[in-house]
Amino acid sequence: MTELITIPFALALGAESVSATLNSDAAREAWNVTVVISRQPDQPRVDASEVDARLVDGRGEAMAVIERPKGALPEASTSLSSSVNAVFRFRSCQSLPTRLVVTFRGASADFAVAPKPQDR
Amino acid sequence: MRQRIARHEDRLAPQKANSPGGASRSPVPDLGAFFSTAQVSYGNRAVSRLLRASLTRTCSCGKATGSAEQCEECRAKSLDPGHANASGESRATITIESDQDSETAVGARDRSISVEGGSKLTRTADGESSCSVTGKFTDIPSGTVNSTLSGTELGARFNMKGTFSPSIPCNCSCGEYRQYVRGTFERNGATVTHALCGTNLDPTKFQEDCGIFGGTSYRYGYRSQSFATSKFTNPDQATGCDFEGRDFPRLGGSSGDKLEVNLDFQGRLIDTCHGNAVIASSDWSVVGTATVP
Repeated sequence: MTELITIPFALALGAESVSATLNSDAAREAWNVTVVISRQPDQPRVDASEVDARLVDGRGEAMAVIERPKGALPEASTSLSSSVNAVFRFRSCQSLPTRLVVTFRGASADFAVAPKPQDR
Repeated sequence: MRQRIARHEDRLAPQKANSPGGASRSPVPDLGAFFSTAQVSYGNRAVSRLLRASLTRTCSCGKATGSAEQCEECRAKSLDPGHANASGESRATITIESDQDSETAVGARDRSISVEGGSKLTRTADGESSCSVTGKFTDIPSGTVNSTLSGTELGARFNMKGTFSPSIPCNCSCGEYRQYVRGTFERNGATVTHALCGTNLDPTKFQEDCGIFGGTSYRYGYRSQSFATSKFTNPDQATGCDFEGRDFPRLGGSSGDKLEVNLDFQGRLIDTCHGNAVIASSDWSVVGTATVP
C-alpha cells in the first residue's frame, strides 16, 4: 500500500494550522484524505461545510470526490490544542496525487504530496 | 548579670565575576579572624569582660538561603545559570554576650566591619551549571483516570503540579516539566487524528505532548513559555519553584457517535541543568468509552 505525505507537514492558516494524512484504500480504489485543522481549544464546533479539500494528480487534474464529511466535525482536544477532522475520499486514478489544496473558512493551504520516504 | 550586649552583622558584598570554569574563592572570614576583628572593634569597652561570643554564617542567593556549613558550597556553585552577572550575598552574624551594661551595647551596635566576600556564578568544565534542583509532584495523576461524557464530549480533567527545591545558592530555574503522550481517539471505530507538533499522536510511540496553531507551538512545563494551562510561580516564570499545569484530553462527537479515548501519559519533572535528568515521574492512562445520546 502506498502511503503519501504532505509537504510541509502543516501550514498556518490564520489562527489555525492545517495538516493532512493520505492513505490509499485499494479495495475502494480511493484515496482517503483526513484534513486536520489544529486550533485553540474550546472553540465553537466546526461544520463540515466550512472545510473543503482538492486532490490534484500528476497531470494537474483534480481527482473526483467520492465522499465528503457532513455535519459537525469530530474534534480531539487537549488543553494545548484541538484537532478537527474532516475526512474526504477521492477516486484513485492511474496517476498519484501530487498536490492537496485545503480550504478552511475561505483561506487556502497548498501542499505538495509525495510518497513517504520509505516508499520512495 | 549576663546579658546580650551586641549583635553585629557583617554583610559580605557580592563579588565581581570570576574566571570562566573556576569557582570563586573570595575570602570568607573564619570564626577566629572575625572574632578577632570584633574584639578590636569592641575591645576598649566591652570585650574586656567578654563571657561568650559566637559567630554564625548564612548564605543567600536569589531566593535560596543556606546554613553556615553551606557557605563554602555557595562559593563553588553558580547562582543563576545562564546569567553571568548573577550575584548573591553571604551574611555573618556575631553575637557577643557580656556582663557589660546596656550603654556599652548601644555604642557597640553602631560599629560595622566591611569584608570582601560573597558567592558568584561558576560553571563546571563540561558546561553544565553546578546548580541543580530536586522536585516532587504535589498533584499528578497515576494509574487509570476514567473519562466521562459531558454533553457531546468524552474526556477527563487532571492537574500536573510540582514543586522544586534548588541547591544552595541557586534558584529553581533548572526545574521544568515534560509531558509525553501516546494512544488513540476513536469515533465509531475510526481513528480521529490528533496533531501534535510536526507529527500526529501515535498509538504506540510516546511523543512530547504539544499543540500548534497559527504558527505557534505550545508545550507543557517550559520556562520559556507561559500560558493559562502551564506556568511557573513562586515567584515567577523564570525562577519560580512551583509548576502548575492542567490538561483536559477529550473527544467531541455528535448524537449517536460512539466515542473512545485511550491515552497513556508520562509526566516528568526534570533538571535542565543536568541533561534533563528526571527527578520525579508519574505515568497514567485516560480511558473511556461512551455513546453520545
